[in-house]
Amino acid sequence: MPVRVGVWLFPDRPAGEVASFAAEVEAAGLDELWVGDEGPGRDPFVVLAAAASATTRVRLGVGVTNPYLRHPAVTAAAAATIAEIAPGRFVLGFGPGGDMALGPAEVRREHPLAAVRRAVRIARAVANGDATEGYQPRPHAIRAKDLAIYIGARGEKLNRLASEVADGVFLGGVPASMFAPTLAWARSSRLIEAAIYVNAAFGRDAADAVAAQMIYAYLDCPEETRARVGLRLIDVVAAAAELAEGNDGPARGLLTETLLDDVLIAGEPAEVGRALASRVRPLHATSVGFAIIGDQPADILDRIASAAQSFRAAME
Amino acid sequence: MSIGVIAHLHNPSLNDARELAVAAEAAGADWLGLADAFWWRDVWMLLAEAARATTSLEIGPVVTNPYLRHPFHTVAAVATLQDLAGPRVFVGLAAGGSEVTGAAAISRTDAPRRVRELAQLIRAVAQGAPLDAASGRALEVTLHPLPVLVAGRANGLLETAGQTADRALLWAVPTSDLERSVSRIQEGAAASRDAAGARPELVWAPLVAHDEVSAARIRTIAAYSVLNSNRTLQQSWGLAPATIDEIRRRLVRGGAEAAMELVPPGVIGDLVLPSADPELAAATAHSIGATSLAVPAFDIGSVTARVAWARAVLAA
Repeated sequence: MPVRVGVWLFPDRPAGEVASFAAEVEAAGLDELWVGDEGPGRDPFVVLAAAASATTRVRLGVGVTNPYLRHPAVTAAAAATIAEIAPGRFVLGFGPGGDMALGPAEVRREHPLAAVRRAVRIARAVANGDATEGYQPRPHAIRAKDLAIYIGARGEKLNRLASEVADGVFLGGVPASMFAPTLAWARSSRLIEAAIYVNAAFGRDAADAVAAQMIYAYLDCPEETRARVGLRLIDVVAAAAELAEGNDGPARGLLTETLLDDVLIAGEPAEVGRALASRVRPLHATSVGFAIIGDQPADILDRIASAAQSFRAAME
Repeated sequence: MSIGVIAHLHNPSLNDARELAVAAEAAGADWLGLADAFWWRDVWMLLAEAARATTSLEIGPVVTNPYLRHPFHTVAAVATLQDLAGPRVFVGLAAGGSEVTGAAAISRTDAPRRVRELAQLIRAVAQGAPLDAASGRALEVTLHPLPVLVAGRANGLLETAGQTADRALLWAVPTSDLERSVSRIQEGAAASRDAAGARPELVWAPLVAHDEVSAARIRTIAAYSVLNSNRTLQQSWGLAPATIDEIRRRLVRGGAEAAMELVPPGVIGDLVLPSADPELAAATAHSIGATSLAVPAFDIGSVTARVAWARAVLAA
């Protein structure tokens, strides 16, 4: 089965515009649209419901939400509602929650492994109409038996959990040098689906504009990843704090060309597509895609589609 | 003076939401409220669908609660709905149903404070304030000012309605408890509002047995009303704490029919108007100072007749 190709974005445009973009993504021949849930912005579920109504083929996902800011049954009911609009086309992704999502709400990431495990269990129960801890489905309760549940994680324990309990993993912002070990953890118990999404920038100017933001990839990652590339958490935290205040100097200073290349694919669309293919070819991913940070994805859809075309050609 | 429709369909589908909204708008209703129920389809998506199908009808959750989503997420969901519905959005708040304490195991003892804080957060963010004053973190999407409705039966929540709401909803309040409820709202308003006599618009939603369908559904509502009424009222109905606990247990297990077996006929008599005579309802509305009415929609086909009844009451 060919690898699906998609795009990931923040819901930073009005829901109606994202829905229109989803229709354009579908028309451009792409296969997936993932929406992040990483801060106090638009509700990704409402946005994705609008996208579901505007499309017929493209697979939609929230990548990823966390188990702390909504009760998992409420999250599952929202996912099930979208799955009803788009049967077999919706993926609910749970992760432990990063600083961008939990920080503004001043919610601590307590017992993330247990929290994600519980969220998947409750979501699965809601989808199947089963009883579980605290959840006794009512006769009229929403169900969605074809709801796919992924776990989005970068560390070993959560990826091993995904292999136990999830339908797939969503790897976003994982350095390319960590793809293989991360997928090995995620497939240690069962051979589950894997979606690998990389940060992408089309052209030199776009790459330069988002370069400093790549520091976040080394902030919300396991210590093992930082150790492997020679970064200290204290330096990354300080650089991220400075970046939040508008000073990108420390982040640029820390991110060598090698480190940047590990978390950002930059170049013309054909180059980006080929580079992605070379990075994921041995991994047997079920889907791959481009996370667009700087540009408005709707403004560069032709470039994303062109990169997807190059990727597919390189994979043949 | 306004007329609202409160949906009482079990787990309404997007199609139901659309048809209900169209029927309510065509009947001349001013607003439509949809339930945010733990077991059902996502209310924000249902509201988005209702918005897409109408042009002038106000829409909002009746009611959502401050427990199952982080307040920032509720604010974000409201803003996302405004993307699709513009200025036609209101938000209804209350303590949450028995599922909050039952299925989600969350204590609602601080409901008045939590509802008040959520209402204040919505107002503050709509005025341009950050979500969190300490960090300065702002909502990443514009929230426009909107009416806040608060519903409740207990003293604390009624006072909160008086303090913070634009609209106070008296939903299925027993006749014997109306006077106390209104006085609590007035006390809350008097304690916190600058202008003498200022108080929220009082929306009365009486239960009327118009036909067999509504009579049957009202009996189910009576079981929930027993749980949500204060101890004095429960005692006046001759209900011992053990019976209340058993009603709660049966409802949490999904057995509304079984729960109703324990509800004495006197409760029904106290909850339901003795006749559908508009003059009678108008007299009660006048006596408590209610200038607006809300009617339950147990089925889509009866919306036109219920809105017409409400109009007759307000005109009487």
